[in-house]
Amino acid sequence: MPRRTFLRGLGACISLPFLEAMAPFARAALGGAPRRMVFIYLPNGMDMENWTPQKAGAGFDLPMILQPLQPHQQQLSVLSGLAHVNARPGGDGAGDHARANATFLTGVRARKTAGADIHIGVSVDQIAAMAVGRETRLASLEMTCDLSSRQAGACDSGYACAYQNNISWRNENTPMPPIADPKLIFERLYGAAKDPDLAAGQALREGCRGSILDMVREDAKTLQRSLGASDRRKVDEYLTALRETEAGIQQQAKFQTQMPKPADMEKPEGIPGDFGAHVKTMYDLLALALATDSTRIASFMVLREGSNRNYPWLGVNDGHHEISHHGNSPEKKAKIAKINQWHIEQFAGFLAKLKTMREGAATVLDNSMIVLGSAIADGNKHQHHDLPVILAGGGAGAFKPGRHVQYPKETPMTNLYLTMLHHMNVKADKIGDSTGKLENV
Amino acid sequence: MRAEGAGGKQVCSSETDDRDCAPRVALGAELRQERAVRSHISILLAIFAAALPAPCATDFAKEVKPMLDRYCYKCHGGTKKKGDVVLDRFTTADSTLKDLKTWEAVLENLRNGAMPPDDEDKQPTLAEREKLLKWVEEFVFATDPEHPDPGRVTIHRLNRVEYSNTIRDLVGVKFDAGEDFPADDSGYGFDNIGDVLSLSPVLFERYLSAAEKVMSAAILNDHKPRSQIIAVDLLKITGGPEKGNTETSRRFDDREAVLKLDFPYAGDYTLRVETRSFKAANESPKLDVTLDGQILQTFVLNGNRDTPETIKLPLKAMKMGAHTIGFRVANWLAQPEKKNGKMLNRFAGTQKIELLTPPRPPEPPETQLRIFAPGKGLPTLDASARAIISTFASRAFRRPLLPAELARFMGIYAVAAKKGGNFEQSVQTALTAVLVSPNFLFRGEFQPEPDSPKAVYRISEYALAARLSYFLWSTMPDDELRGLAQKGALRANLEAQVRRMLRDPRAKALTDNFAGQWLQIRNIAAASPDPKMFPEWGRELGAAMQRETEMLFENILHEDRPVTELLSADYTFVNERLARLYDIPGVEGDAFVKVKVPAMRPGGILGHGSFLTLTSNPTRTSPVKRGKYVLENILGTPPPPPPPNVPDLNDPKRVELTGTLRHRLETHRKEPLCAGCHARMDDIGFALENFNGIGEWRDKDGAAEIESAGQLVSGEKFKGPVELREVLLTKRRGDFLRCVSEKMLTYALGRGVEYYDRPAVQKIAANLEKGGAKFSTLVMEIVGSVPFQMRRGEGDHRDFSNAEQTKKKPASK
Repeated sequence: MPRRTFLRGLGACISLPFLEAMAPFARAALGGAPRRMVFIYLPNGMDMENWTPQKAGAGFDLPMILQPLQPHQQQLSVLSGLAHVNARPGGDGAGDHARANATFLTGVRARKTAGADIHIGVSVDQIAAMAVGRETRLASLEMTCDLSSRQAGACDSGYACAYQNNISWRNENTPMPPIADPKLIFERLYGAAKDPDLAAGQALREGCRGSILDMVREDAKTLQRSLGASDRRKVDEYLTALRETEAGIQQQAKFQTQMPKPADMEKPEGIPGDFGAHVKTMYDLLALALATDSTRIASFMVLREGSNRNYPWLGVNDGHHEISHHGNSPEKKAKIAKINQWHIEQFAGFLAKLKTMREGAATVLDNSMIVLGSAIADGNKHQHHDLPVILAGGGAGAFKPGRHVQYPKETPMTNLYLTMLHHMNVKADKIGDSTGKLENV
Repeated sequence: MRAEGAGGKQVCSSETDDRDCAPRVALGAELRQERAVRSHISILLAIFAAALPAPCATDFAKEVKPMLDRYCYKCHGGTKKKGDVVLDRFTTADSTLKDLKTWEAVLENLRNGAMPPDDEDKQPTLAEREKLLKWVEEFVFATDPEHPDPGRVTIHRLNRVEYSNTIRDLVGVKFDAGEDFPADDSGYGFDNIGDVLSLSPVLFERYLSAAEKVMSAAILNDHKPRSQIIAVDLLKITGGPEKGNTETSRRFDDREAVLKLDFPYAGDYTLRVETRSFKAANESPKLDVTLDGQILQTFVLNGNRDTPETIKLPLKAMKMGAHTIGFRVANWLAQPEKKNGKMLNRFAGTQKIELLTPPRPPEPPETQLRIFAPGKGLPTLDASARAIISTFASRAFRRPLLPAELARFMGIYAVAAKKGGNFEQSVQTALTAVLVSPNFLFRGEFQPEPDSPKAVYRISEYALAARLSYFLWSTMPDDELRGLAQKGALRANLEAQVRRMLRDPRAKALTDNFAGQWLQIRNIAAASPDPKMFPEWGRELGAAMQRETEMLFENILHEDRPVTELLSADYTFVNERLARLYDIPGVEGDAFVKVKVPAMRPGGILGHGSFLTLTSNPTRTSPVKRGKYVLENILGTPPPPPPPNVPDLNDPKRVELTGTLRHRLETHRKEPLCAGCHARMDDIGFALENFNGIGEWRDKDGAAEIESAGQLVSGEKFKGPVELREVLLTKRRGDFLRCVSEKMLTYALGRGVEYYDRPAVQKIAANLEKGGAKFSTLVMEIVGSVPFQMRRGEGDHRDFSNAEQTKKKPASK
């Protein structure tokens, strides 16, 4: 099979038998189909009039933005009424975009700082990764299509850029930076291509890795003794990352025999210049990661909060953030709806792919819990309640998809996460502002 | 404690010198705080600078207390204690010093505009707010310029640029971390802030594989003999047909084409010739190949013009030295007579000729020779390894190696040897470990009492060398800096070293990383002006804009010009594309030339396409963004963030949506909530409205004439970009110098500038003024400043100042 076409056309006819062949072990894990959890973030809220279905329950209507989801309506629910109260100003003043980003998966109020003392909570994906991440080669996967984290200058209203560049947090101070380069994601999943220059001595190098890590751990401990509290925290970060890498190497060895051969695949060459192609490639890689059971936990911040990208191919030449403060201008709202719909269309393509990936009688989609949403509802006024949220996939029988569910106003979004963690067999009593598990999902 | 009876009243001798406003405060030992005030001087300076000529002496009883009464006591006084904050218990100025925790919260909330809440009817005027802030800042959180607090810098993880540069200088291998590592986060506008640079598991994985990759490129992995491939330059072939040859292809005919080749040593070689041929008269061409005049072999080529083939010619037992190889087509002429005036012939040609040498043990690369040099001539392999590893690791750690550290690396060397590694491989493994050690990945500074804010000391010469090199070069110290540090002679030669470093090509890093982020010109690559509205826009134009601003900065650096030329330069650098945009005639080609700026454009960055484009929205200019940029990056007086609930700019229910952008913004400014800050930002932006969204001159915005008159809140009036620039350069020159001092200090230290750094910033700015604002003066002042030269242990600033005061306190009377 021509591998160059593989990533471009994943999900179409060519990939089916291939993926089946590649993922025989996926079903074997956990004695049944493994559940996966995926979180997808879209920025600047939505045009809610064209998002929220009129009817509740099954057989709900699909407003304009959700139209592309029509083929998958039975595999997803629209959840209304959820809120992220910790994204509100609450005495911290401006900075709704940074807060929304930071709160989305943590439910925690970000400490307002330009950098000296970043503080937020552990995100739901990392809670899960720490508990069950060892069951797969990669504990979790973090991705983005946003390149503005490479940009210079200050971020939102006095918040450190880390709050806006990351949605996944390992602990209170350490983000899990999402990767934008498909090539790097591919390498994480399937290892770097065999470099002929590295072939000689490879066995020795691999054999010595453990000793090297042991040694530098000693270095780190010595170093810590002569450092102050903040510095020690940084070196702790180093030690944690070292431990993870060590475990990763062991995981790699454990799953070696099941690894799809990198030689079978065409490695993406870098970040595509075309944004649409970039988004599609990332969704393709995400689907691949799930189907091959390389990881069961992933977060994909398509764009960071406050993104001012324009969408000329949709006839939207203005910056997204700029027009999200639409002041009820019908023209601007129409443009926002177009942007939103475009993103949902990409998402629908992803769901379609997961549907083609069979796992026994079910599909990868049936066995997944996929949240897509934003921590801002209407971008004009930065509302953080009645959030736009979709829960796709059946969670391997955990959910009853195909409905529009209206929850009581101000129901914490984190309650949904608590439910999801429960289905991942992860013990957690509370995430951020959660008040209990979300019922009737 | 402060003198009795002063009642918080301070005497101010001058309006411009903030230092004199600060009372000399000694704080009680009981006033320990858990965490440092998260104070950021730029915002404060903003407020001071923008404050109307407010007297800096503020009386607590007469001025501060009444304000608290009017705006705060309603919720934080009497029986009300919202959020457990009670403010009416502070009856005198001194009483505030006993509960700094509360005042930290006051400071924070005042600064970010969170208090009083928006829904309160009574709101302080901007002047009142600023007066109160200034008082809290200068009285409650006073600094003592005689005993400045150097602060402390959190251990720095190398960012991607620093990592790549350091690998280049340490190992001699090119490695692009920008491609291999996840993006670094930034804080305070820069991506070299120790507090913000975190280390995720993904990054650690990449560090490990990068170390292996880099060391494999630097040191031979094995000694297995291998053939070298020598590519032949086709232009060196003489003879044969003269026509139809190119740099990458060569034709053959019945005349011999001759190639002279040097054979580096004796042995069996192979010549590989990629040929293309086609037949004539049903016969394929036959290629004779000769060696030193003797026919060696005749190849019958495939004669298929679409299928190239590679012929291989073994050259056995060759002697070292020059040999000639000849090619001719034996049956070139297919038909002796001309047909239709043309001869019929067969074709043969080549695109590629390669000579494969006999397999030989590989030569160690130059990097290996350099890294292994310290081990030369030592009696045992272990002694060599020790010397190599110790030299390499101490360069990598930017300080001498501790014995225990060396022992650990020797341990790795031994492990590799035990697992069957040869000498090179075992050393290579130990050096791989060096590149994953925290001592390499982090720039740390050993501290005698790391957790005591009272422990103030000058940083070591090694630490100073590292601070200097990462500040000016974004890389590790070179041999000269290291040598001086070793002798303890760096401080004594500081100025000469800084001047040398600024002349070095590595100082380009200052343009890329400092100017690129301060002036945000890095962001041009991501700008996306609407192609319909700006058909001239393209990647190349954006790159030219970025280059223009970089070249202005470089020019100031290289020629040691005043930093004010960033605003005042009457020259600029353009190529043809940019010149066309600026309407400058006579510039051709892609190369940049220095030209005089046209009269209507302001010189300096205010007229640069880079600044004007990156502060615009895709379809239109944004006077607000332009004004904000100038306030933040030129004047160092950023406006406070907007209130959380911004009323709609163009809600049809609220205002009538008519007129130019300026009219709409002016309507917006009628909102009392917005007026204060927008008065600061918008007028600056209006003065630049003659430049469209990509910096092209225009006289009209749509149908409407541009109105470019405005004034700063401090009253200076201007009309148009040139006058705006004049106001900034004359009336606000001090602000600019302070701004550039503060930005560069932030970058140089790799930490946010805190309120206790105020004396340092002011001193740098004052000396910069005295030194004619020269670039080298700025760098020297920063390098010589207290926070750059010194540090203290971690803890609260007030514990530091408390210690200082105790030291200063005369014996009790």
